[in-house]
Amino acid sequence: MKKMLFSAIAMVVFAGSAFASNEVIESIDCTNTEFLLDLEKTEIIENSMKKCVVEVNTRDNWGNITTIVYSTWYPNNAGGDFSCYNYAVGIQRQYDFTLKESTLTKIN
Amino acid sequence: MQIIQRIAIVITFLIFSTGISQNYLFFRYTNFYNTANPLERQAIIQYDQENNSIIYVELKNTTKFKENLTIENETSSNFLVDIDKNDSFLSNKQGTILFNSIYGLNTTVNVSDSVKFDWELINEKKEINGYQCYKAISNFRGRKWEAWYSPDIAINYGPWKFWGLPGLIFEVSDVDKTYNFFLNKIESKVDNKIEYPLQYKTLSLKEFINNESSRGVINNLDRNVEVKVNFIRKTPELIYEWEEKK
Repeated sequence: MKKMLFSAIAMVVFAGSAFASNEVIESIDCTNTEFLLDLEKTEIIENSMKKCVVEVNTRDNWGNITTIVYSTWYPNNAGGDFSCYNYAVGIQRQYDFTLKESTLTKIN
Repeated sequence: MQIIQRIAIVITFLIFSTGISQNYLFFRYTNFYNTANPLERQAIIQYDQENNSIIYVELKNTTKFKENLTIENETSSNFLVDIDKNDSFLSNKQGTILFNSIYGLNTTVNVSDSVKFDWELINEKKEINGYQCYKAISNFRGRKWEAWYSPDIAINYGPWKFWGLPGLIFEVSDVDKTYNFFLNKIESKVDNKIEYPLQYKTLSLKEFINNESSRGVINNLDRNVEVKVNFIRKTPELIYEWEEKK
């Protein structure tokens, strides 16, 4: 019952976010419950949150690749400098402290 | 030409063996890793005669990637980073090993390991750079390895963690040819003596491996960030002794 409730809310989040902004965000798969937040939190964020997904491909010493996915939620009306792009640049800087200018491309 | 080269090397080795000249010999290897992002890299063994031990270094700045794996249109949601940025050091004294590696995101640690190869000597030989080499095979931590060694150089080491054969390892590869190491040069000296970087905290291999899926993961994230790691072990070691006991 709790999961069903969450799925319904997730659909609302998707619909709301698609029209709300020109930020690059990942669409939310309504059948994927891996991103389950606790329900109390979900009720609070109801149709006012966006999901931002940053995928980092890490290459090790041997040339093997491991993909690390960072996902976060932020309010539709987040002000200031918050955007998915800035969030991704912040992640990139964690990997390279010497990075002066991000190599990432912003997609609108 | 090869004969002259071989004579020069043998003379160098004899001088070295009698202790007249250097305490160290250097063996240069070229490694080929046919992994997700195939690469070629130079490596060097510094053999310490006095202690009968080696330091092995993979020289990061010699890396040549066979394919440019830079993510096309690197966007805000998808990018590539190298987590092992520095040279990789490994010391080996008759199977007592210490190597350095990244632990977590940016912390370097030394990892202690103890390895033994159960080499089976095969009655096959081939000539490599004028040396008569003999074949040996061994299983090691989930892969089957094939090595070619030469008793002409009585040093029982090879690249990476390989050791325990009655002669220097000239070539060694796993049977799938994913990880390949080839000796290409023997020298009596290099510009600088190699020093193993001992300044880092030391972990046991088990401690290190227990956290291996967190290599390259940012750990000081906000509470509302979810992290998924698609980790599959593909390194030369696929399974460890304590895991085999499961």
